[in-house]
Amino acid sequence: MSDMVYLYAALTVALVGLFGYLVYLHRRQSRVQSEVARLEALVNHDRK
Amino acid sequence: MLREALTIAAKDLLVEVRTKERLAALVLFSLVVVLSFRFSFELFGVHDGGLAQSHFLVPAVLWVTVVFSATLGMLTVFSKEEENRCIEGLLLAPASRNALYVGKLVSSFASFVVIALLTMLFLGAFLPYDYRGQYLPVVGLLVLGTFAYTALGVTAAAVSASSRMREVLLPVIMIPIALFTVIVPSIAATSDVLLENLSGALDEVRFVAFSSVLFVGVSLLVFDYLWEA
Amino acid sequence: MGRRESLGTGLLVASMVFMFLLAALLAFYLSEPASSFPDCGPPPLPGCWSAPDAFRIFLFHVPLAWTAYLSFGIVFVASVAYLRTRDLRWDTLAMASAEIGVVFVTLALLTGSIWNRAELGVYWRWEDGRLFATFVLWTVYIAYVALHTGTRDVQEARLSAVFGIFAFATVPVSYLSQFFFSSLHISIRPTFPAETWPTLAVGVVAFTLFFLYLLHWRLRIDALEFRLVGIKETMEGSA
Repeated sequence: MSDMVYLYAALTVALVGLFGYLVYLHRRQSRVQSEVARLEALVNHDRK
Repeated sequence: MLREALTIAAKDLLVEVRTKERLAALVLFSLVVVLSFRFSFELFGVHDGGLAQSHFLVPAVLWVTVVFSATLGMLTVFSKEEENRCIEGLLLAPASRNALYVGKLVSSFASFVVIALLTMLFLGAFLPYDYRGQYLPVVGLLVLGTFAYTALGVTAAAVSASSRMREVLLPVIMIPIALFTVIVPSIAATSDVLLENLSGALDEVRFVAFSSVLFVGVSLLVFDYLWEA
Repeated sequence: MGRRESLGTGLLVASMVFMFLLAALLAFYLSEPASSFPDCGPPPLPGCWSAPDAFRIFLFHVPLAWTAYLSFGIVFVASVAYLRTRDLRWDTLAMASAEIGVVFVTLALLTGSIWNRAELGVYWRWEDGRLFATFVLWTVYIAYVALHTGTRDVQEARLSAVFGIFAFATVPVSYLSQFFFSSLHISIRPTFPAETWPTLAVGVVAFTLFFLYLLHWRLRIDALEFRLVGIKETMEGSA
């Protein structure tokens, strides 16, 4: 049944899309988190 | 409220008639756009009366020109008030915010309808097409579509008036919302009218009318909250 | 912070449970012959489909679309709330919801057009009312997300709120367009046989929970970014 190809294609698209957004969120979070940690360390260092 | 609105509209129109600067600029712009289309279509032999599908082209050219001109005109709807700081005075008066919206709607609508009709005239001069006597319906469609677009535009202008990126923001806000609710149905309706498919045109007219009611309604509800508390 | 994190984990676990259930049901349907979806070859006649197996795409296309509508509804409510309370947190919610909504509606459009290709041979038909309507939605909310240009000030928030309100107004308008545009926009929609309803329900619940999980995570990242801005400001203040 060649129709199944379409089903698998759609499934792939959906999964890649959702997973891709998850990856994007994760990267964004780690970027912000490392920046916050860096700046906080700087502030604490200044205070000392 | 209505009296206030009419006062605002009358003031705007008086300024417009006296100085003519904004109107003249918009007329010139619409002429330039029509001419640009006309020379682009030169390739297809339109000036010879050719191009069998003109009933698709002409409505599209007409409406695109009107929309571009109206968007340009919309940029300056509130700019005079912003410059002269008289907007604060306008806002202080009670129940005047909706009056401001209605007044601006009336005055802008009047200007843009004039531009739209002139555009139709320019189109007739430079892209000759046989309307088969359907002048009045097309004029009616222009009036309705312009009203719907202006109803949305005044609110969009109010919201973007204070932004530095006003010239970019205004089209970005307006076009996505207006495109499929006003512009495309109007083009389709005009095309239907030229093809004498009046029942199809009526469907699209109802759609544009519905959109305009929606825009006016939402604008009246929202206009109060657009200004600094 | 611990309570928020456990909410996030809870949402993730719940959504994964339902996703797993959905996958199981999908696999179950895969192994069964498509009895309710009679095959009758192109062109599609009412009651039967030329690509009965591809029909199953709808079992996750519909939840995707539904979740997108939900997210845009949230944008609308948050926009109204922002205009009335001027609390920037509503604006943050609107932005986050819109971003996720754009992802879901893009996926809905893509899966829908794959089904369209399977069923009708073409990926896209401008005459189809529902495709048209969803495309409108996609355009409008991409514009909404594009309005966000870096730092968020009160002016921009007000602008976005008004745009968010008008943008949602286009949803019923586009939906109704398929009825107004008579002959032009013929919409081919499946009717769902009763045996697919449980799977649809599971799918909707799964995707809604997953959306809430994504929203929750996105809002946490926003909170982090706020903190970052705050730290930078105190640094500049003391420097």
